[in-house]
Amino acid sequence: MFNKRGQIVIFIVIMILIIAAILIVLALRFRLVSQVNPPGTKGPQIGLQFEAGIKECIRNDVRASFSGESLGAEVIESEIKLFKQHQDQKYPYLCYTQSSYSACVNQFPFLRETYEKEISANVKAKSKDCIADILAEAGDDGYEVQQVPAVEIVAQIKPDKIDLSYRQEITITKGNDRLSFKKFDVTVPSNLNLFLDIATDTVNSEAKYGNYDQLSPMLLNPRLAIQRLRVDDSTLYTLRRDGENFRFATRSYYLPPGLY
Amino acid sequence: MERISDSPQGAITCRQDFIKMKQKKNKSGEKSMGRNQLVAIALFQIILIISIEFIIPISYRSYLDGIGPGAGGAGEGKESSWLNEKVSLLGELFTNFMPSVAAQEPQLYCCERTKEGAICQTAGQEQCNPSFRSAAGKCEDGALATCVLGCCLKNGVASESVPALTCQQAGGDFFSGKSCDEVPQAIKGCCAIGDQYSFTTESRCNILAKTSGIQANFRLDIQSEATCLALKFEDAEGCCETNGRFQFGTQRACTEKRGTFNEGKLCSNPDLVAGGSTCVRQKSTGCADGLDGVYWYDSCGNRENIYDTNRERSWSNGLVLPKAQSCGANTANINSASCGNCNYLSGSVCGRFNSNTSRPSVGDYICKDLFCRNTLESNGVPKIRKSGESWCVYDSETGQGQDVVGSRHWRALCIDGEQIIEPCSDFRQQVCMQGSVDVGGQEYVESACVTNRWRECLNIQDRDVCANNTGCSWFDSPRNWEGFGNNTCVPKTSPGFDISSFIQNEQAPQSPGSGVGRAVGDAAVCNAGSYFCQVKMKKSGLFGGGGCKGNCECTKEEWRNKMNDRCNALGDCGASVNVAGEFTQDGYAIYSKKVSEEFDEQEFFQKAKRIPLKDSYLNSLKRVFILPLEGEGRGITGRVVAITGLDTNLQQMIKDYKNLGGKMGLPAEASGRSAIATETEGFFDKLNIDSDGFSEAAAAVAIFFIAKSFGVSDAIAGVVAVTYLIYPKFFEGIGKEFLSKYVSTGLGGMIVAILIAVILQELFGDIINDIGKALFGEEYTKVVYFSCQAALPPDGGAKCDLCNKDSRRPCSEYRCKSLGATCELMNKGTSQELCVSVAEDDLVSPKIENVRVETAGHEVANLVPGASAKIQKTGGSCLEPFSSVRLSIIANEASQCKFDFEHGTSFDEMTFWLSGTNFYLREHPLTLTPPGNPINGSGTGEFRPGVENTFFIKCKDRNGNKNAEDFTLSFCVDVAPDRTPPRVVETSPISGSFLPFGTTQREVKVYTNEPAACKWNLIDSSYEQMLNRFTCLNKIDEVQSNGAWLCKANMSMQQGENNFYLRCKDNPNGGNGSVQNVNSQSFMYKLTVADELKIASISPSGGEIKLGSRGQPIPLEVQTSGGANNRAYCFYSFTGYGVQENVFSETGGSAHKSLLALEDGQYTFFIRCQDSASNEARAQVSVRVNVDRTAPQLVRVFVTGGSLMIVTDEVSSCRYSDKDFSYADGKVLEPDNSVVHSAPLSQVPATMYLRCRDGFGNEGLRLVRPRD
Repeated sequence: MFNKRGQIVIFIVIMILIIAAILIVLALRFRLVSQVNPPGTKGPQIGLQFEAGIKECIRNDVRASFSGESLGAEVIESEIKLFKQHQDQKYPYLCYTQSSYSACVNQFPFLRETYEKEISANVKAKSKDCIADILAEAGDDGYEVQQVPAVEIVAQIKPDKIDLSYRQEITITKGNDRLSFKKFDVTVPSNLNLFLDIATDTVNSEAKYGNYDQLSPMLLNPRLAIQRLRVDDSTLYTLRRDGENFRFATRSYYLPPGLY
Repeated sequence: MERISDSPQGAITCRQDFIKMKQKKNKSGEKSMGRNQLVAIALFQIILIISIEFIIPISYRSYLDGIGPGAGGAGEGKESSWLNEKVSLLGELFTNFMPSVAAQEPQLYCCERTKEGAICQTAGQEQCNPSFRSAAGKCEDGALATCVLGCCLKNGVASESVPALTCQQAGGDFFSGKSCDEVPQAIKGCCAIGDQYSFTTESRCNILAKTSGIQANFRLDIQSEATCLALKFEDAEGCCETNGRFQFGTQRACTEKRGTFNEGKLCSNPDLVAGGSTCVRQKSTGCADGLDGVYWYDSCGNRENIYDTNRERSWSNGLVLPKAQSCGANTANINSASCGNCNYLSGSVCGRFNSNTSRPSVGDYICKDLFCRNTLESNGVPKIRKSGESWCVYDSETGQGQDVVGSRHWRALCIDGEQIIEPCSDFRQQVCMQGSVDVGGQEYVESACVTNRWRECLNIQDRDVCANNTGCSWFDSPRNWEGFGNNTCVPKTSPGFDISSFIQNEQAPQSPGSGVGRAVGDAAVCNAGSYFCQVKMKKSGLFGGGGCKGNCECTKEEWRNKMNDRCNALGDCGASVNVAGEFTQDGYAIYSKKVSEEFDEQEFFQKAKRIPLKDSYLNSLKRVFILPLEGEGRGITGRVVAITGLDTNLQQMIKDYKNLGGKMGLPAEASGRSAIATETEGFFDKLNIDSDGFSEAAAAVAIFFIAKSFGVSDAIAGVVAVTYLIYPKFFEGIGKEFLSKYVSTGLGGMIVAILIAVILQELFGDIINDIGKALFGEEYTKVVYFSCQAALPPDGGAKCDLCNKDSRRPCSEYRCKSLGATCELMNKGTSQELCVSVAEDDLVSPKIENVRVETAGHEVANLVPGASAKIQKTGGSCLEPFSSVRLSIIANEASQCKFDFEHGTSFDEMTFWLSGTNFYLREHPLTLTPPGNPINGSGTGEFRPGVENTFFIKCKDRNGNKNAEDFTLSFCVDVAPDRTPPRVVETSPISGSFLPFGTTQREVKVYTNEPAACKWNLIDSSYEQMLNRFTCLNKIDEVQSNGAWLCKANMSMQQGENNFYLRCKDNPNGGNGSVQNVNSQSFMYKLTVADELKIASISPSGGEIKLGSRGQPIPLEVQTSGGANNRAYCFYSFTGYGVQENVFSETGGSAHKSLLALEDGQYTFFIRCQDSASNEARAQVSVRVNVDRTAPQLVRVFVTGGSLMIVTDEVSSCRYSDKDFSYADGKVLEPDNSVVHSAPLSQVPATMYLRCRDGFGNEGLRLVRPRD
C-alpha cells in the first residue's frame, strides 16, 4: 500500500511549486503593467525613464552651450564681428564708436532675446541626435515610436535659471500600453540672467557717461566679481560667478594720448 | 662837488669860483638881470632842450623803424639775426609736419554698417559697407535717419543709444533723441513678486509676474536697488502651512500661496509639530541667500535661527531669534567654529570652510573673512581693507610733474575678501582719486578713475581760473622771479605721451595728426616750458662795480631745477626717470652764453656752454612711493574738447627775444632823466647862468643826454659835455660861424657840441668805449636758455623684462617702451605678451641710405649711401632763390639725426636736430629755403648764392650706436634774378575766419614766400592803385619761423562779411637794375564779424520744479542765437561762470541740452556759451526743486445726492475695492487726474479700500466706510 505521508509530501511540494509559479507570473505581469502605464501615475517606470532621458539630453545641451568660460560668447560673435582680443580671449564689442572723445553706439541692445533664441536653436539642433538615441532604445525594447516632426522650443532666461520648454508630440506604444508626451520642461541653473542685466546696465552707462561703477552690483550680488580692464582704447569686462564667465568690451569716450 | 647824473662817465661838477667869475663880469658894467628872471629863463631853456631831446631822436628812430605815416617799409624795429637761420628748428617743425593746418578735413560719412561690422559709425566713405546705407556727414549730426540714436524699449528692458533702425527691426519702442531717463516707461522701481524683489521697469515687472503666475507689486517711489532688495528683510517671517506642507518664509509669500502663516515660529516649533509638522530641528547648517550668517536648517530644509553650538539657545523654543539676540551679536565672528552670526559690515559672511579657514564644530559653513589683507598699496606696505572699499595705487609719487614716464594710476577693490586691481586709462589719460565715506558709522575709502583734464590747463592764463579747475594747478616761481616767464597753469597730473610716435620705423612718410604728427604736438606741449632768460651782467672795471645786475636767478642752480620741475609738470618732458628709476634722455638742454646786440641764433647754439643739472637734483627725481592724493571722485559727464593754440608761447618767446638788440642803452637814459627830475632841487644854485639867461651848465647836461640818445656812448658824451662846460667859446665860435643866421650863439654852440660828439663816436667810439669799460666796467647780456623737450626712453633695452614681472600690474605698450628705446611689447593680445628688446645684438650705427626729393623739378645727384649727396634742380642747375625744396633723409633704421656746419663734430656735440626733433625716425623730413640776391652782400647763415653750400649729418640708433663719419649734404643757389611774383602762403587769421562781435579793427598777418612789400584794398585794383600798405619785415634775414616773410596791417572791420584784396611786390628794397615782380591778380581775403551771441532762452526758466522722486532727471535746455555760424558750445555750473563747469551733453549748435538729477533744494545754474569767434554769452537762472514723495491725502469725504464724494489734496487718480488690492485691479473712482472724485453710493462697498495715486506714482491706501 502507498505511504500516505509520502503522498502528502508530494502534494505539498507540487502545491508550493504551483503557488511559486503563480507568484512569478503575477510579478512579471505587474511589472509589465507598470511599464506601460502613462507617466505621472504611481507606476510606470519606463515612462519616467523615457522622460528623464529626454530631459537630460536637453539639459546637457543647454549646459554645454552656456557654461563655464565662454557662456555663449559665440552667440554674440556670430552677430557682432567686432571684438577686442586680449590674452587669447575675444571680447565682443557691445557698445562701440571708432571716433575719439565720443560716446559709443549700442551695437547689441537685445541681448536677452538673442540668447533665448540662440538657446532654443542650439537645443533644437543638438538634442535631435540624443533624443533619437533614446527613441531608438525604446524601439529596441519593443516599443513603437510615433513622433511628430514639428518641434517648438521656448527658452526663458530667469533669475538664477534657464527654463526651457521642449514641445514635441511623441507617443510610444507597446500592445495595449500607450504613452504620450507633449512637452518636456527643463530647468538649468545659470547666472546668465544676472550677467545680461549687468551687461545691459554697463552698456547704458558707457553709452551715456563712458564709465560704469562696478562696485555696487558686486556688493548687492554675493559671489559676483566684475573685472574691468582698460586695454589700449577699449574697456574689457569679465563677469564671474560660480565658475561661469561672461565677457564683453566697450569703446566709449576714448581719450587718445597727446595733443592731437 | 655835486653829481647831477648817475652815469659815472657823465659826472659834471660845478665850481663856485666859476660862478663868481661870471658874476664879477656882470658887475663890471653890463646890465645884469634879476635872479628870478635868470632862473626863469634857464628853466625855460632846460625844458626846451629836454623837449628837443625827445623829439629829434624819436623822430629819427621812428624813421629807422618805419613806424608811422610815410614809412617806407623798412620794418618794425631792428629784428635780430637770430631768425636768419634757413633750416631753423621751428620752421622745419611746423613746415614739415603741419602742412594741413590750413588744409581741409577729409569728408566724413555716416555708415549704417562699416566693413568691420560696426553699426552707425562716422568714418571715411571707404570704410562704409556698400551693402548698407551711408550719407555724407556725421551720424551724430543726423546725416542718416536710420542712425539717429535714442532710447529703445522692448519687453520692459530699456537700452540707451540705440540706432533707430536697430530698434525698429527688433520691434521695440523707439524714443528718438532721448535718453532712457526721459522715458517714463523706462523708469525703474521696486518689483515685488511673492518674496522676490528686483529693481526693474514696471512692464518688465508685469512680464515676470505673468511668467511666475504670482501678482506683482510695483513701487516707483523706491529709486534705489539696495533699498528695494532690503525690503525683503522687512517682511515678517514664520512658518507657512499649505496643504499639510510646512515651509519657512515671509508673510507675503505665504499669502500668495494662500497658506496659514505662523508668524515668528520655526517649522520645528512644538505647536506646529503637534499640528502635523514632521520637521526635525537643527539637522544641518548652511548659508541663506541675501543673508550674511550661517543658519541651522531643519530636516525639511527650512531655515531656522543662526548657527550656535549652544543648540537650545539658538533654537529658542522654536521661535524666530533676531540676529541681534543671537550669539556673538555685533561682531564679525570670523572663523568661529561655534557661532555663525556673521556681519558683512564688520567683514564676514557665510561661506564653506576651506584650508584658509577653521573647521566649524557642526557642518561645513563658517563666517569667512571678507577683509583683504595682502593688499597692493602705493608704498608697498599692505593694509587691511574692508569689503566694498576701493583705493588708489600709484606707480610713483604723483602730481605736479612727479609722475614718472611709463607710470599709470590703478584702482584696487576689495570684494568679499578678494582684491581686484583695475587700471585707469594708460598714458595717465585717467587719474585715480579717492575720498572716504561713512557707512553705518564705519569709514570706507572709495576711489574712481576720472578723466585727466590736462588739456584744459594749457589754455588757461589766469591764476584764479586755473585754481578753480580740478585738473590744474598754478606753478609759482619762488620769490616772484622775473626770469621765470609767465607763471604757468600746469596739469595736476602730467599726461604721458605715446612714445611709439617718437620712434617711427616705417618707410612711408608720416602725415600730421597721427604718428609723428602726434609726436610733434606732444613736443610742442613740452616746448611751452622752454624759456630764454636775459641776464644783465656787468664786467668789473678798474674801479670795480661788476656782477649780476638783473634776472640773476637764471644763473643759479635753483632756477635750473625749478625750470625742470615745471617742464616735468607739462607731461613726459624734461629730465625725468621712468618706472624702472632710470633717467630718460634728451628731455632738456640748458645753454648759457654772453650775447652781443647782433644776436645770432646759430652762433648761440653752436658756442653756448651746456650746463647739466646736478646729480643731487637728478637723484631726487627718483620718486619714492607715497600715499595717494585725497580728492573727489567724478565720472565723465560730457564731451572733452581738444585744446589748440599752443604755439602762442613759442611766438611770444621769439617776440621777446627780438628786442635783444639795440636797446641796451635804455636803462641808463631812463635813470638819467629821473636824475634830472630828482636833482632839480638845489640845482639852480649850482648853475652857471650868464647875462642873457643861457646856462652853460644846463646846456652841458643837455648835450650829454641828447648825444647819448643819438647813440653816443656815455664816455664820449661826458667828455664833450665837460669840454663844453670848460670851454664853451670853442663850440660857440664854430656855431656862430655856420649857424648864426638860424639860431642863437648858445644854441649854435650846443648843436656843434652834439655833432662833434656824434662824429667822435663814429671815429673813436669803440676805442673810447673800451677805455671806459676798462676803467668803469662793462655791461653785457648773458642769455640762459632752458629748452624743455620730450623725455625719451634710455638707450638700449636692458630693463625691458621688468615690465613682465608684476602680475598684479600687467605690462602695457606705454610702460614697456618707457623702459628702453629698443623695448617693444610682443605677441600683443595673446596670453604670451612680453616686453622684450628687439635690437639687443645691434652694434652697428645707422646709415643714411638715401635722400629723396619730394618737390617736383628737383633731384638728388652724386648720392653715395652713407657718405654724401647733392641737391639740385632737374638738369643740374642750382636751386632757385626762395624756392622751398622738401627732402627726406632716409636711414636704414629708426634713428635720431643731427647736423652741423662744421665737419667732424661728434654726434653729442652737434647742435641742431635734423627735422627739428629728437625723434627716432627712418625718414627725416627737411626743407631747404635758400635766399635770393643778398642786399648787403652776405647770405643767411652758411648758405650763400653762387657757391656750394654744405652741412654735415650724423645719426644714432636706439641702441646708442652713433655715426663716426659725417654724411655730407650740399647744394648751390642760383644767382639769377627772380622772375616770379611773391605768393601769399599763410594768413592769420585764416581767410574765412570769424571775428568776435563788435570787432572794428583787426591786425592781419600775411606771410609771403619771399621778401615782399604788400598792399590791400577794399575793391580789386592794381598794386599801384591800392591805397593801404602793409608793414613788412622784408629783409632777407627777417624770415619767420615758418620759413616765410611777414607783413602786418590793421584792417577796419564792419559787422558781417569783410572782403579784402591783397597784392604784393618782391624785391621791395630795390637795387641796381633789380627786377620787381608784382602780383597781377589779387589774393582774396575774407573775415566775418560774427553776430552777437545771445542766450535766447533757458528751460527751466525759474520758479519751482516738482519731481516725483529723487534723482528724477530734469532737462536743462538752452537756446542760443547769433554767434559764428549760429553755433556755440555751452557750459553750465552750479558755482559760477567758468568755475567747475560741465559741458552740455548736446551742444555745438543752437540747441543745448543736458539731463540733471537733482535733490531737493535751491539751485542756480550759471550758463556760459561761446562760439568759434570767442564771443561769449552768459545767463543764470534759479530754480527750487521739490520732490513729491507723499501720496495724495484725503481732505474730505462726504455723501451728497446719493454719491460718495472724495476730495484729495492734489491731483490724483483713485481706485477702490472691497478688500486690499493692487491699483490696476481696482474700480475707477471717476474722474482720473482730478482733485474731486465720486461714485454712486449704492455701488461702493460698506468697507471701501481706496488707493489714490498722484502724477509721480506716489500711492496710498485708505479705508473708508461711506455709510458711517
